[in-house]
Amino acid sequence: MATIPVEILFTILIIFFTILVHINNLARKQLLAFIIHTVVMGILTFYIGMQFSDPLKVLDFILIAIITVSVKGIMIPVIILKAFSKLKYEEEPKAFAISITRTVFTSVFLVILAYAIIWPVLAALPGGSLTPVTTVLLPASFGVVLMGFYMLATGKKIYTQIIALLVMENGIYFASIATTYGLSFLLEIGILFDTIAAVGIMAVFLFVIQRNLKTVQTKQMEELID
Amino acid sequence: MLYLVLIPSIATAIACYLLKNKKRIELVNEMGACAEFLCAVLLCGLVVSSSTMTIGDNGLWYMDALSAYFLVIVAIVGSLAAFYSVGYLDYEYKENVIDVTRLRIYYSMFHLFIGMMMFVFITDNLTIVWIAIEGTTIASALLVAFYNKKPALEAAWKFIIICSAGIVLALFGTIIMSLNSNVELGESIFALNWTKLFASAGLLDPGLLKLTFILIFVGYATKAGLVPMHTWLPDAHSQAPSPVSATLSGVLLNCALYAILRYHAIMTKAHIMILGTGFSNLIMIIFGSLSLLVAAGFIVVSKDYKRILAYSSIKHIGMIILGFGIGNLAGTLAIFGALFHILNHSLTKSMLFFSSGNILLKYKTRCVDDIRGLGSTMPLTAILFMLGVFALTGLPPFSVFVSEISILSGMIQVAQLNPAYYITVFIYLLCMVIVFAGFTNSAGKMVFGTNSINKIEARVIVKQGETEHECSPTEQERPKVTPGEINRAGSIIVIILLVLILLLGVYMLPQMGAFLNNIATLF
Repeated sequence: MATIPVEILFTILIIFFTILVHINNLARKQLLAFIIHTVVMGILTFYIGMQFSDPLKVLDFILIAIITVSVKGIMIPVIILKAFSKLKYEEEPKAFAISITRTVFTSVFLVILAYAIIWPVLAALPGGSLTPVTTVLLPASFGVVLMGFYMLATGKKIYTQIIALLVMENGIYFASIATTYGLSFLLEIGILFDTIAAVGIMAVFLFVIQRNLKTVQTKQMEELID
Repeated sequence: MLYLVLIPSIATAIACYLLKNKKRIELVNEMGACAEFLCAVLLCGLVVSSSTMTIGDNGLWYMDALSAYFLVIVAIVGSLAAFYSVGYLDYEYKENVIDVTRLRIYYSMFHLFIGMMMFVFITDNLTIVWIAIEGTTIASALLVAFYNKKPALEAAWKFIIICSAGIVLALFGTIIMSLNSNVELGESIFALNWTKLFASAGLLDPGLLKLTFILIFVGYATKAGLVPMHTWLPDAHSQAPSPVSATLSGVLLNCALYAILRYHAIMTKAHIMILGTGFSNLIMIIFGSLSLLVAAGFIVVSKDYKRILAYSSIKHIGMIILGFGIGNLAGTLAIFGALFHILNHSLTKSMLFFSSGNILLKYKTRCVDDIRGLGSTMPLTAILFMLGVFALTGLPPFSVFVSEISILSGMIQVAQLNPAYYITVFIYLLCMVIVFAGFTNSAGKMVFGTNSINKIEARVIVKQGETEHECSPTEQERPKVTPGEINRAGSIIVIILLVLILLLGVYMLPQMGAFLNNIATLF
């Protein structure tokens, strides 16, 4: 198995790109940052896959990497871009300015929180049952999920919320490969299929909402409260 | 072969989408509903007739008494909602609210939604359970946004975003469970098969199990509508067309509940303890009580009768979760009650959503204050609605009374062993009283009094220049309310449900009691 620094490098890279997705306040730039985020995940899957001696397992990981990158890195961005192209009410960057310092600090806090929650549980397992890949990357993947939640909660535009959800999905995918056992190939495809369908429906909503409500801001959708 | 149960739903969904003739779409919808019901009953029959009460192929597909019970509930409510939809949508079609294209979308998404819910109960693999539950969100989101108006779009957007985000945590929990299984039970492609996990629960790592249950509970409780993750529920349930509201409230919440129960069974068998009680039990008691309290408060203050019904769903899911949480601490009475309550809540809630659907069609308003004299305008609907309210609030001789009393008796048994549990008994009783008062107050205002036509006009004058409550229609949408029943076919379905809950309230077949007791042994 690999030495620890490579896993730490991947952890830092993924957290960096998650923050990058969050702080971009322009739709297309945000989408580009998300594509890079997904590609890094793909490379990580490839890297973890290459550590195995069983050729079937290697093939499994390589196939999952290729399919994930093509679906999340190409297909889903194309669906979202198509919905963007129909948007008439393009955002004003100033209205959606994001405090970079606050985002970075909160994100780092969330990653530390994720390690504080997951690490002790993993450390209590019998020695040797987990690889360094799992002990280092699994808490980080939870950090990515929490950062996705944070992005979702603070997102002021409906498509930022879609991308936040995709970041969370990436966090889950990250967790699945970090356990090194992975979910089986069929199940990964099932989850991907759910993601495509969800994004497809959200893209339909994005279009209908901007057509009917003439806005892409979530604060315009706060009527239903008790 | 269990997946064959999905064929009627998928085939009906495709056929409804391809057909262009309204009558044919409705006919296919009805035939599809019958086929779905028969398939589910057939599978349930196979489970009951099996000596081990299980069927499956020791791989992906599996059913036991618990899944058969949930599947039959989906089939009953789903097929009745499909029949009710015909009259409901026909009325809206004649009023030019919707066209044939909308009907095609409605029926195809509706059957896809029913199919996805059935999918949850026929598999052994916990990831497939997750995939199916996420699938139900995707299939039902378009149904929530069916009318494409601002509140409906807002509700649908909240629904899909909050549920999808919440359920991501459940998937994280599933992955942790997979890690636990692979590390402790050996690497296997069946690592996430519930039967395997349940059989070897004692061998699993307790730390990872606790982490899993927290994530799973938060994730699926979002979908089940437990407080504080419930915010999407009143919006989605009130904005969706009434047959969809009935299905969302009556059976969709059960799907998430089912997933929680599967993990709860593993936790119970593994004897994961905290503060002298079961770990999962404690979490369920806390969130169940919280849901009861918050929902009871909102039922009293809410002015929208569909929102009141939605909050009542939160309350009942809270009761069920509380019943299971208390359950195995002393005997199985509370578990028996909670299991029976799942069926009773599904039937009673769909009955009320159906009758409130007829009221909505007539009055075009969801505001309690805009409806007066329902008894003189629609006498049959008013009687059914009032009886439904009595049934839902737990009055005898309806079945909800029996299950609520069973849960309460179970709780008192536990409290006699540990007086600290009298707090939950107090919360439970307090909420029952508050909800009864709030519910009957709102329903009484609607049913009694003079016909609301004049009142509405008076309100319009008073409210000039003010922003009206969102449940009120605009002035142009206000109909002239003329006395007379509408959607009579829908009323027949409401009567069928009323008879069912009445029968279940006064007599339970011994076989059914044995069946529920068999399920109760899982926890």
